[in-house]
Amino acid sequence: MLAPLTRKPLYLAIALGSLLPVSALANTAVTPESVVSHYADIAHATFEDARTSAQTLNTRIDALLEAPSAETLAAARQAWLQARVPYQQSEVFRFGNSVVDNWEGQLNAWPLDEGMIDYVASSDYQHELGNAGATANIVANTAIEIGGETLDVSNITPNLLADLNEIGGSEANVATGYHAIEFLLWGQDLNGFDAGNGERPATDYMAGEECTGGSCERRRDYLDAVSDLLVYDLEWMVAQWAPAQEGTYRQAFLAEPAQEGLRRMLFGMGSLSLGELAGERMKVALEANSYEDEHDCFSDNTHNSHFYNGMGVQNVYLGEYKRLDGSVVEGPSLSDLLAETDPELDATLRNQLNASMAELNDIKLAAEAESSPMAFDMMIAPSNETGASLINDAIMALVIQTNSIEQAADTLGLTQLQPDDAGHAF
Amino acid sequence: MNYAFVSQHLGRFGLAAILLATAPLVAASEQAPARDRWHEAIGEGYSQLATETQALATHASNYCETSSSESRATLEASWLDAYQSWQRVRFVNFGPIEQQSRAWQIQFWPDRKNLVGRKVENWLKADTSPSIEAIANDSVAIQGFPAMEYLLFDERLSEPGALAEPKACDLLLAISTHLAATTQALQHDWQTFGEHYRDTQSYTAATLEAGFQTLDTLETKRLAQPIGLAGSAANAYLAEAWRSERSIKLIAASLVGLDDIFLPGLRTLLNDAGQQRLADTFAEALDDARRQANQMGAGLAPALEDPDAFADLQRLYINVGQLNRLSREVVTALGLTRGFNSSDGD
Repeated sequence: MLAPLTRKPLYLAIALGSLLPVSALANTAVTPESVVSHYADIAHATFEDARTSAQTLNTRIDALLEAPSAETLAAARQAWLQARVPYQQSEVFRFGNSVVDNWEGQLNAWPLDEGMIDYVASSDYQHELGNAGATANIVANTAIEIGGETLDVSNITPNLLADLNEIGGSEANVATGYHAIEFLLWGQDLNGFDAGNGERPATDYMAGEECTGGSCERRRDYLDAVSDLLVYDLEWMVAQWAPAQEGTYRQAFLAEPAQEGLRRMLFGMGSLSLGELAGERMKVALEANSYEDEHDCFSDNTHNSHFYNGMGVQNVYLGEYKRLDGSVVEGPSLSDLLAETDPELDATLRNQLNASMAELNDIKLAAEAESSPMAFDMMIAPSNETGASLINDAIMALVIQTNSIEQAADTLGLTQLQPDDAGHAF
Repeated sequence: MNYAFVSQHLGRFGLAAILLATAPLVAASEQAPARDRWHEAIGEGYSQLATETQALATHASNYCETSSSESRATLEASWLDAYQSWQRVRFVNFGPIEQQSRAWQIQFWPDRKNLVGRKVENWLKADTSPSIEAIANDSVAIQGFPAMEYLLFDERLSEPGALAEPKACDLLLAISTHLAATTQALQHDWQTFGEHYRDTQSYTAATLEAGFQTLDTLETKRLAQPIGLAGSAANAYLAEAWRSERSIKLIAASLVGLDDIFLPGLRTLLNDAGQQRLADTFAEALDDARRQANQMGAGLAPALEDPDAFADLQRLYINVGQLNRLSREVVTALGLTRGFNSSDGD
């Protein structure tokens, strides 16, 4: 087994050495072993794309900091949106693979009390009740007090931000990751259920008298450090899934019986479909009419985050991943394996995955429509029947496919879907 | 790492069978008596909830007419009675409770970002008072016991007579009337659902899962998180009913519900499987927890400041933990395995 991972200084633990390219077409027979091995290939390719797109984001952020302007800010935002495409597809690897689940809090923690990071409009800011860090404002202060303890934050580094993430034990104290960067690029969305997202001006990154929002130097340091950390963290995860390397998660994963690998695959698909995507990310926001529970709330990119979450589930089942460069990683799949014993169930599940992707695509189309686009935070407004029905249809499709995922597990002889170490009390 | 919102809200997305009985040690024919018992007991629980919620609406109306201190005290007591009767049946997370997110309508929790407070404030600041229909069409956070708790107990309305103001009282009436209608419909739909429930074998596992998940939620979400035993500092705002300081009263009512409504059917199953001793052990542990909760103070926050009360809180936490461990033994003894549930998100 791997040594327990320390979460904070992930970037110090990056495995060195060049990474081998994934062989795209594995023309092997379909066995549980080949399916599980190919799953690791897909994970590797997905995280590689997440890293590559995060590197681009980092470069664009450097360009923004070099010459802050509406154009360089727009280019950085565009890179952030692109970086979400592979990352959201990678989330299916979280559940069941503790190496991912223990790591992802530093990358995709949400929802956040963004007042810990930078200025917020106090009239429009609702933080977690009882969270001492919710108004710490690291950008504006060289020392912050959380839970009676004073912390020196004068020197903003990736390491410091990693240490500050979830400080005080509150999951809302998000100092790092995609959503921290999203907040620093877009700012608060002050439009509630109405059209529009965050409108942070590029001048928030100007030096000297042109600076808006105050403490521009520290905000620049923050954005620089937090985007560096994202790249470091993704490099670490790519290395964990790299083939032919000693001491990686992949090596430990493939040393387990193949049935265990299949179980983790199906557990990830079901957990992301039902509890996370249908539940936390859609149903809660809709039923409570709560834009605080919108996933990408600063950028209003939530429709894409949901869409690519769904695609990740489908990728794992079909053993296919379309890379950012357009090439396709494909090989022995769960679908192939299930078809050998129950072709009907395989066809049903494939149809259901297509159906849920169609529903998620309807949300995406509505949000990106040229005339009167309806973003996710508009869909969840009280009495928006069109929006509610778009979201409810997607939720229902995800529920239905989860049922078949359970049946697939049963058919493949996987009786205990729960991972041994997930800490759920059952 | 997102918080486990869904599980905490008892969200459920239509999966009837959560525990998959792969090698049932209890034959299908022997499970019917357990479901008969459960159906009847849950029906009685829903009936009590509907009655007490109707009484709450009546008491709200009386208060708004008289705004006397007596009618206020009656209203507050009635609110707690009805809220506790909900706790007794709250473990049921399948069947008609799944329609229109009724569980969230009745109790939106957890509410880390004070959505209840903001939704109530929106109506208090609105130009017009809400109709019942407007409440029905608004957020689940405005529809239930927590929204009424805000009106009754939040310091924002602590001025004498603040609740008797027309706008606040109109809101109180609209919420309580809507809530009474919701629980009335729930009770009715449970009776209609009865035949399907009794005839469908997978509801045995679903009912077991519901009871056991409630224990898990009690231990991890309703106790460990607010009292600081879940890896972070104590935060009383994470407890239910923190505004009224009735958190322990609600936990006690949940344990009573498991004892009175859930246990009889469970005992039937365990007895039929030759597991009388395990049934007795579980019943004793449940009784211990129930007695422990009953002899404690009403609120959770005060106990964080008082070493003796905190020791009691820890004792309750240990009692509930013991029940959780036993529930895992029950799952094994009945030959059940786990599938997905909506709390598998994070």
